Amino acid sequence: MSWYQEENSGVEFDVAHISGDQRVFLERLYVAMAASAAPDFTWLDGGHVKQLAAQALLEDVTEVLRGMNFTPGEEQEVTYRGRLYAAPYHATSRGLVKRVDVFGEAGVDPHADPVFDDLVTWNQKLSKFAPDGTYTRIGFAPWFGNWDARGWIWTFGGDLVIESEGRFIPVATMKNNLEAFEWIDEWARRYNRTKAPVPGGASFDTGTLAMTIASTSNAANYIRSEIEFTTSPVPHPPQGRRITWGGGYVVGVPSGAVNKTEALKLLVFFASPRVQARRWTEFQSLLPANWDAIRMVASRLDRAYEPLLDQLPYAVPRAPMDGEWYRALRQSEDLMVAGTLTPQEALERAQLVMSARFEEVFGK
Amino acid sequence: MIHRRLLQVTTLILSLIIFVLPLQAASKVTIWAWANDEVIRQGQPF
Repeated sequence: MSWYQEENSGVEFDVAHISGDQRVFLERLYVAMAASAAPDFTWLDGGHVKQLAAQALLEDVTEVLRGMNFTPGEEQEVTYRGRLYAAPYHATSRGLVKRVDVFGEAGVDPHADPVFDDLVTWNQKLSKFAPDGTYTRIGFAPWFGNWDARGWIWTFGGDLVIESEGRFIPVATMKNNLEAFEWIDEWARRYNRTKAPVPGGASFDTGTLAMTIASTSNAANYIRSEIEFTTSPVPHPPQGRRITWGGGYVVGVPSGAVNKTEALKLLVFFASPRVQARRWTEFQSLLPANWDAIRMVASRLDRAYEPLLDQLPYAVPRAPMDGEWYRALRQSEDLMVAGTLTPQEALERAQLVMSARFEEVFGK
Repeated sequence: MIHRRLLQVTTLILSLIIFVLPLQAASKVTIWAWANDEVIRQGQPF
């Protein structure tokens, strides 16, 4: 805000810091909007924009952002019926990260990009056991890291929601989604139906997990912790596709903002390449979502980021109601891994939960 | 004469209050920021 005030004297801000997780933030925003007490300008998780736009709760900001180039995944997340309803402020990319020390010890080349079946064969080479046969290190498990069930669904060519003429239809039980869940279930059988095969937990940070899926934000932490790692695209099965998913923070203007004119100027300010580049330069934690800002800072990025940035054009936008999809799929996945539900039943459960929620929020 | 001057000054002050305060209010922007945002945790909103 002070950066904006440097250039716009006379503008005052009344900033409220909202605590809680992203779902709590959204709920509070809904309450404020219902009470006509919404702020003029708000932080948002990009995954919440489509539902707010569909409910006419955000201003259309397409015209004020015209001419700006954003990373594709982040831009799609804020697009509803071809119009922009928020400005992407931060981008994320994800890829397979590999610990150089563990790979070296196991005799696997950390610079090689695995094909899909290598996840199993490399896991065998990278796993280590105690004398009693319990794992002391594993190579990989699909539920670790920053990819989640929805990431595997997209990797298998599946999807969660289809959009038709502005209407959203949950499709959790589609064939490719089932194949993704069946594949995760195979890993659950491999680890005797536990999500924690290494007693005490498997972690990339401590080297008890040799490879996992990580985001650009995770990569920043690994670099700070001086963990040597390499990065590859996430391998996909033949029926799937090379993808990454990101999603980041965006800024938007709630409908009916009292000070809409100044709020829109602030939105353009935060969306601009120079401000996003300046934020990266000063904080170096969240990647810009403006392509021109990324170009401005590219020469100063750690080389470990390069393969992650190469993934950005393959980004899949998160589905509307992303936070609720995450919880529904996580619960279903947990029940499947434990052997309580079959892959088909697990997806049917998620479909049931989310269909009800979509009807509630968007109508039939 | 003194009363007249006092009246003029009072009118001027009231006019300023009536016209300037709404203008000041108009330039104030209310903002919500997520307290857990990493950048905010580092001490900067957004």
